[in-house]
Parts: sequence; C-alpha cells; structure tokens
Amino acid sequence: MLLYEKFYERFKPGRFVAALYIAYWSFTIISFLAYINYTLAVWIFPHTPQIVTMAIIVGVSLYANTRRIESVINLPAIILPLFPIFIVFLFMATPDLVWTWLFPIELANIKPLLKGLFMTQGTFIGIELYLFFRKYVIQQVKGIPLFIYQSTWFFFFFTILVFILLFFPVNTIEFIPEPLLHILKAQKVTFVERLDLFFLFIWVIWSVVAITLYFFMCVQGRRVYFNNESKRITILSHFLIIIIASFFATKDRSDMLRQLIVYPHILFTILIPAIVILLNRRSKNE
Amino acid sequence: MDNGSKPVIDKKSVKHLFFNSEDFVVIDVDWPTGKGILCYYSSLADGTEVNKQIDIIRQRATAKMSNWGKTAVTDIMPYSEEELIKSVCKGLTVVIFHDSQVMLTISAQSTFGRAPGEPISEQIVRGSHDGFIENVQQNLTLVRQKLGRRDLVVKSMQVGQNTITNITYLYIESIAEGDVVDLFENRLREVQEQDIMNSGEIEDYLEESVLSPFPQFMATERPDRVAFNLMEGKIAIFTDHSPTVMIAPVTFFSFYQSPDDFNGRVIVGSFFRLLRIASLVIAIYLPAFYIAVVSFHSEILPIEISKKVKLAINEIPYRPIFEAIIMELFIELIREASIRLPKPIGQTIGVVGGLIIGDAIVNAGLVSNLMVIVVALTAISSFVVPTLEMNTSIRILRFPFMAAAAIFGFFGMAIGTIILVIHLLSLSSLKQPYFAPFIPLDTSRFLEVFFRVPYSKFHKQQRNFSFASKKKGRRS
Amino acid sequence: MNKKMLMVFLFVLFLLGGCWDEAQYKDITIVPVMGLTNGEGENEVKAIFSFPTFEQQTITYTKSEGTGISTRAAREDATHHTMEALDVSHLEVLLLSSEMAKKNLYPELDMFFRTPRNRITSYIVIVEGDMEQYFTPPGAVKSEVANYYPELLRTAELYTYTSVSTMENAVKLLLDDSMDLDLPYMIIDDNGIPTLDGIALFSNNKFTGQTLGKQEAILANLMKSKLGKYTRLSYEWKEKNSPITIEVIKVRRKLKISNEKVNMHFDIDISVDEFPPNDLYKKGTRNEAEKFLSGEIKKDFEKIITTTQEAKSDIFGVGRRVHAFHQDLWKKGDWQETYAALSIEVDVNVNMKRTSIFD
Repeated sequence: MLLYEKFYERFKPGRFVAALYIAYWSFTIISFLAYINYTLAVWIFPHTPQIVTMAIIVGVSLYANTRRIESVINLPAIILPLFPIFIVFLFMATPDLVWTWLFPIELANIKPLLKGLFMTQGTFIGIELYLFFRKYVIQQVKGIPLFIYQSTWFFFFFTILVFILLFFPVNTIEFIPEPLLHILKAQKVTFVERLDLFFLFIWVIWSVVAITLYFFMCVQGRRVYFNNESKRITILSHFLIIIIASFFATKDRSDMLRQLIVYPHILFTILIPAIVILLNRRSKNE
Repeated sequence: MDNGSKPVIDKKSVKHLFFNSEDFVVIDVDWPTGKGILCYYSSLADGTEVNKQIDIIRQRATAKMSNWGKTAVTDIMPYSEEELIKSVCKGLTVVIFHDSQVMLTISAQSTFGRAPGEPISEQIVRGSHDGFIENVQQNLTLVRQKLGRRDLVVKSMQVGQNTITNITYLYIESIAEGDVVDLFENRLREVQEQDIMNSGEIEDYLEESVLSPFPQFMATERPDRVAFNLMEGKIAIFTDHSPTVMIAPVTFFSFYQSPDDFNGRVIVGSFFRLLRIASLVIAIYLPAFYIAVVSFHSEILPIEISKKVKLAINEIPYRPIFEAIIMELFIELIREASIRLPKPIGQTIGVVGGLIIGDAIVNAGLVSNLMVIVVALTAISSFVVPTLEMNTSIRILRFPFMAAAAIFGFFGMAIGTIILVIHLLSLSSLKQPYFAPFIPLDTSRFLEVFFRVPYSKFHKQQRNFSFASKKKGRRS
Repeated sequence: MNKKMLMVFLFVLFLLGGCWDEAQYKDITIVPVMGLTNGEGENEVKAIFSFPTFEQQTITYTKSEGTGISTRAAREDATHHTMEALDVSHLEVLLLSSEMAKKNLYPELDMFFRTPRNRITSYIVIVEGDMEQYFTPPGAVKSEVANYYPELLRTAELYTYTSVSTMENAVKLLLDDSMDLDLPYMIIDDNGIPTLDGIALFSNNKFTGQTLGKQEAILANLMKSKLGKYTRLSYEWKEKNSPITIEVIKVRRKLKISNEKVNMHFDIDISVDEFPPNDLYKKGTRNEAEKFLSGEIKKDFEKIITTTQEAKSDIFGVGRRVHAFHQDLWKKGDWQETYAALSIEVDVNVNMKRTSIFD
C-alpha cells in the first residue's frame, strides 16, 4: 500500500498491460459472481434458478455502467452508512468471545505461516485499482489522512478476524465457511431474529457495488486504452459473464476459483506493476 | 390593409381588428396634436384610472412638454398593428394618433389580485405567512422586499405562439453561477415556440430526465423559501398568472427542508428533520418490508409478535402483495377523492373511507389488520414531506419496492435500493448533482442533512460530480 | 434500442420468475417447543412437537409426533399428519430425553445448524423420564406447555438457576475439548408438574447421568462467574439461629495453575436480602457473616468440584486456560481424565458491600 503511494505516478500501463488487466478483472468478476451466487443459493434462494439472481446482479451493474461515469465512481459511498451498522451488530457478540482461544500461538513452524500469508493476500483483491485511481483523487491527500484511511481498513479486517477466531472453537472453524454470518446468526436481539439475514443483504449490496466497479474498470479500460466506447460490447460482455459465471456457481467450482484467484492476484498486484514501473523508469532515464 | 403609406385608422377598422368584441371599447378623443382613437378591453382596463391618466397626459401635451407621452405608466411608440394587438391584449389602453402615426399606451389594468395569504399546500407554524399570488409584479415585490440588494436580477422572456406567457426569472448576479444561468437561458430559448400555460409545463421542457419519479425543480408558493434559495445561488422562475414558483437547480434533500426548521430551536429543528428523513425511509420501505417478512423471511419475527402476525394473516385469502395493493389503492382513492371535493364533504369521505370501510375490510377478511396498520403508517409518513411533488413521488416509489419484495424478499429490496441510489446519483438538476451532499461526498455538509445546525449559513449548490475525496481500490 | 430490449427482457424476467423461494407465512406452522427422544427401534428418533393452530381468530395448542432415523426424518414424518408444514425456525425450547443425551448429542442437532432458516438461539433442556409426559403433564400446569417452557427457562436464565443454555452455546461446548457442557435438567415433580431440577453434567459430548441440585446449580454458575441478572443464595446460620439470604453483586475468579495443581480464588461481592436478627449495623456481625458465608460457600464449592470430577466434567473451563498456557499439562492425554485427577483448591472471600435498606 505504502509502496503504491510512492510509485503511482509512474504507473502508466500500455495497451497490452491494459488488456491483461481487463482479462484479469473479468476473471475476478466471474469468480466473485460465482461465489456470491453460491452463497445466496445456500442461504436464501435454494429454489431460485441461479441464472436469475446472477442476471439481476449483473443487470444492476449494466444499468449503472450505462449511466454517467461519476455515479459509478461515487457508488461506494452508499456502503459507508452500512459499516457502522455492521460493526454494531458484530460487537453484540463481544460477551460470547473467549479470549483464551487465541493461544497458544504457534510460531515455530514457518511453512503454514507463509502459506497463510499467501492466502490472506486474497483479502486484498482489488488493491491494484488503487494504482489506477490514485491519480484522480485529490493530490493533497497525503501523509496522515491517507495513513488513517489505510489503517481503518486494516483495523476493520483485523477486528473481523479476531472476532472469528475468538468466537468459534478451533476445530469447528474448518467446517464453517461463513463464520461471520454464523456469529450474527447466534445473536439474540429482542426486536428481530436472524441478524445474519440483514448482514447477508448488506454484503450483497457491497458485492454488487464491487462487481459494478469491476465492470466499470473494464469499460473504462476499454475507453481509455482502446478508444472503444461501444455500448454493444458492454452489454455483450455482461451477458457473456452471466453465462460463464453460472457455470461456476457450485461448491466445487467456486472453491476452485477462490483458490486460483490468489495467483493472478499476486501477479497483477505486485509483479506487473513492478515491471511496468521499472520499464517506465528506464525509458525515462534514457 | 391599406397599401398606402398612411393606413386609414378609424373606429370601425380598429373595432374590426378585434372582431367587434363586446368588451372592446373604442372612443374618439380630442388631443392638442390632433384626433386620437382610444381603445381598450373594458374587461382588462380600469376605466376611471384611464380617464385620470388621459387627463394628465393631455395636460402635458398641452404644455408642449417634450416627451409628453413618457411617464411611469405610459409610453409612446410608433404605430404598428402588431404592437397594437399585443398591447391591448395585455390589458393596456392605447390611444392611436392617426395623423402622426404614433400610439400612446397607458397601463391602467384593473387588478383584482387576492391578498398574499399563506399558501394552502405549504403552511408553516412560525415565520412569515405570506404567499405568492397570481400577479407577477406583486410576487416580485414580495421577493424584493425580502432581499434588498442591487444584484438581484429580474429577467423575463415571452414564450408561446398562441398564448403569450411571460416567464420571469430571478437570480442574484454575484452568487448564482454564470454557466448555470446561461444553460437555463439557452434551454428556455429552445422552448420559446411552445405554448405554455402553467409552471408545471415548463418543468417538462427544462428538466433533464422527465421520466424520473423525482422532481428536479422545486415548486413553492412561499416568498421566504424563494429568497432563501436565491441566496444559495439558485434561479427562481415565475410564470404569469401562477402563484407557483419553480426553483432550480435543487438537490434531493432540499425538498426535505421546511422554513419552519430554521425558525425553531436547534434541537427541536434537528428532531423534526430526523423525523422527516425517517419518514422517507418508512414511506418507501415499510410495506415492502412487511411483504418480504410475511412471504419470505417469517423467521426474523420474534415469537411474541409472530403469533399475532400469524393470527392476523392466517385466514386472508390473498397474497400479501395483493392485500397491500388493495389497501394502497384504497388509500390513494380516498386521497384523490377528497382533494377536489368541498371541504365538508372531503372530511366525510375521510371518515367513511378511513374508519368505516377500513374496519369493514378487516372484518370481511379481505385484508389483515396488520396490513391496515402498515399501509396507514406509510400513508402518514408519505404526507410528512414538506413539499408536494416530492410527496407524490415518494408515494409512487413504494410500488416498485413492494413488487420487488414480493418476488425476491429482502434481496429484491436490496437490489431496488441500489438501483434507486444509482438513479439518484445520475440525476441532475440543470446539470448540477442532485444527490449532493452525499455524492460527491461533502462531510462538512453531511450533518445539515440530518440536523438543523445552529448558525447555519447559505450554501451554494454543489458544482460538479467529480469525486472530491475517497475511492481508492481496496475492498473485500 | 438494445437498451430497451434489455429492459423489456429484465422486466419479463421479473414477471415470469420470482416467487421460487416464497414461503408464505400463513402456510407454515410455527413450533415453539419440540422434544426429542429415543424411538422404539434402534437408532430411531422420535420427535414431539407442540404448536399453536390458528382458526377462527383464536389460538389453540396441539401436538404432533413422528419417528424416523434422524431428527429431520422424524420431523418429515410428523409433517405427514399435520395440517401445515412444521417450521422450527421459531423454536424456543428443545427438550432432549436423558437417554438420548447419553449418546453423542451432536448428530441430533446437526439439522438445526446446517439449514440457514433455523433459529439457533433456542434453549436446550435435558428431561428425565417419558417425553410424552412433558407434553401432556399429569399435573395441572396453568398454561400451555408451548408457553410454559420458554418462559420458565427465560426466568431460570435471569435468576441464574441455569447457565445460558442456547443451542448455539451448547454445541460450541460440545465440540470444544477444553470445556464441558452443562444443560438445565428437568423432572416431573410429585405434583406432576415439569420442574427445573438443577443442571445435567456432560463429559466430552455425553450426558454423564450425574446432576447438580437446585442450589448447587446456582453455585456452579457462580464458579463459572457467569451470572444472570439476579443470583440469590440462602443459608441457615445455625449460630444466629436465623436464615440469611444474600444476593450476589459481582464475582471475580482467579485461576492459578501450576503443574497438576489448580487454585481457584473467588472474590464475591454480596448484598443481604434477608436477615431477620437485623443487627448488621454492628461491624462484628458483618465480619462474622462474611466469615460464615465464605466458609459455607467454600464447602459447597468443594462439594461441587468433587461431583464434577467424579463425572469427569470440566464445566468451569479450566481446560481452556490449560490449553492456552500449559501445553505440557494439556498434552498429557484426554483432558476429561486429566481434569478428574487434578487437585483443585478453592478459596472464597465474601465481601458484604451492601446490606439493603435495613441494617
């Protein structure tokens, strides 16, 4: 993150790289969609054909992407009011936490730790967008505000992780795929049962926004680097993705994608930016 | 008429020009400079006032003053048939001097405007109780009295081919953005050919998205609201003979502010503003929420409530969505019926509809009593909005949400919310962002949406859509 | 044009589709109380449901039962002869027969956790004897069982009679090696009324058959330092020839673990609820009372520890601390065995913080 901050000005991808990124984003969308649909099917829509939920989510994105550019960019702002709600819900679980489950911390074995570090990169999918967006954001934002922004995110993820670790006995975490939802499900609130449902929909909103943004990036990538603004391709690509993603929306396949995506993620967030930055630097020096 | 250089103008020809209308008066008058023909519509001009003015002008003419015809209420101009028709139709009195080919116009219209009383649709408790009337001049007076400043600019433009409607617009030169005013003027010029009778019709021509449920112009009859908005750099549009003034560009949340807020105490004002925002949420979501709960997510109800709900809906033959539509239609019918009826009958309808039929419909088992509560609560909250058009928009909005909830439960509502937000984000009012200060996010003004902040200042309309802060990669 | 087509397509999709996952509330029977017991055959589960039915604007309560190879199968069986589908998403109390609990409990509960619709904050109770009796109590219970059990257990939780025994908590403890589960224990008393009678002790994931009595159950919760809103204890103070009832305000537990020896230290803040001699204004009496109570409570605590060690049931969560910080002790073998063999010392220190509005 901090490295990105330093070098974003040098990040000027060419056409080829842009094409690669578009491919990568499409891949991300597919894996994301597959995963969302699997979760939705399991939690609330066991009987609804998956293609319908898929079509609705993608339809929203299509609608957003045929509107003006600014509205998509600003869309994440609707997420903001949902954060406090979510955090409050989460903190209701505090009395149920068992702090001793954090221990013993086994640091002796390096291998699983590294593997864990590798897999946790998955949470940072999307970080490469930072490189693309940074130059549009006001330049004055630097130093402490940026640090606060970044540490808020870190804190947010970290809290969630700690809550999950402390809430479940160690041996049960393996078979609980959505621990957060379970935490919320176990909360007893007087006015309403099933907090998990509410969170599920908060999460759906988040995901839809994320998918919309990825689509947006694809469309913009096409616009900026290939001067292609055809609406037809936008619509077509949306349809294509519905079809491909519905193929992947089963347990096995979505899991496979989830595990796979870490590799291109590393490639695209660390390697390619590094190469591009280095290349640009060289050409500048010459 | 006449191909000669001096067309013959006499009583007969003038009378003929106005199709011998009964209320058209043509009289010969003597004048120091020669004979004149006095003509006016008796239905528009005030006869006694005309006599007085003519005496004054005649004296001036006799005294051989230069420019004897130009005073505050009279004007002198070369004669042309077109001008004659236009002036007379406006209600002016015209004296035609055949010899010198000039005509004198006297504005002595008979005015019988009503007093500037409080508008019925926008009443407030504390604050000024005057409202606009059908006379533009008087309306301008009301605004100017509130804003005594030099740079309050009044401009007007005539639109229409068959009807002549004067559109007068106001802005404050030093505050309003030049390009917004230009944009507005261009748009107005484009519609100059259209026949427009009402202020609502101009809205159609000037708005960016006519099909959106959200009004992008704010209509008001309150001078204080107009003055307040002018100070924020907006444009106020007056139409002839209409007390309704349109204000643009506006934001979504300006519809939720009432002049009352600024008069009351800070805490009280904040409370009511919050209440209004809550009412917005209730009005849009409550029926949808109820439908989603009883047809999809009944497990979220705590058991004590769930038994009552179950008891209420167990023997209702219809799906909740039909139940809701029956009830909503019913309420809209009552409202629509009572609006145009004379007051005493309107009240009767309210009582009959609300109490008797409401009770009977539950007893008959067509609609559950919970649904009646839900729909009634929704109806009340939708009436809370201080401005009328937003009020109707909100009422319309809940139907798509109900449909979405009936098909997909909460999921439908979530998706509906996103679509609604995207729509609001891409809406603009005279090319200015509609959903400010949320988007683009302006944290300093964020509070003012929900609270009545003390020492509040005037804010200009948000200028552009560009992202001011935020939005970098990293989500999960 | 393309966009319009798409809109039409989406709209048609909305009209055609939808309603797949609709579950109209009026077509569902909500089940507040459910009982599980062993069926006649081997590995057979018998489930009894008590639920309200709604007709002619009145609520009446009925029951229905079914058998099958698992909980879910039994529920399906019962649905065959119930008017509307039974829905356990509003389940408030799950009664489990003690015989069934003597096997591993989890298989019977899996159904509640796997399907998202179910409520996992319902109470679990272990009941002794014939399950049928709990649904048609021989004694005159004043209200319907479907209302009686939930309210009873809510009260029990509030007054620390039992620990928080929600299904979710229970299963977490079932699956946790380092702490054992205790559940409310219910019997039919002499008047034929279902009564809470302390708590049932589990070892690993099976009911041991051993239970703690009414007052012991309260004390055991005190030892877990998990208090409800009100916690009252009564003792007969022989020297003063008077009863004394105290309300516990706060309890602090300190665990000291050193190889094979555990020291539990309790600081208990109390207020006096009942003491007829009314001489607590004397500092001497107060000190005496504190000393007396400390002694009594300590005696009781020790008795409880002996019982739990006999039952090999670590309900106090000593194991959690051991697992976190004393790996050598933890790795000695099965924790339940280790726990039974531990020597546990108890210290109790009672502080009288308030005497209520009399002295």
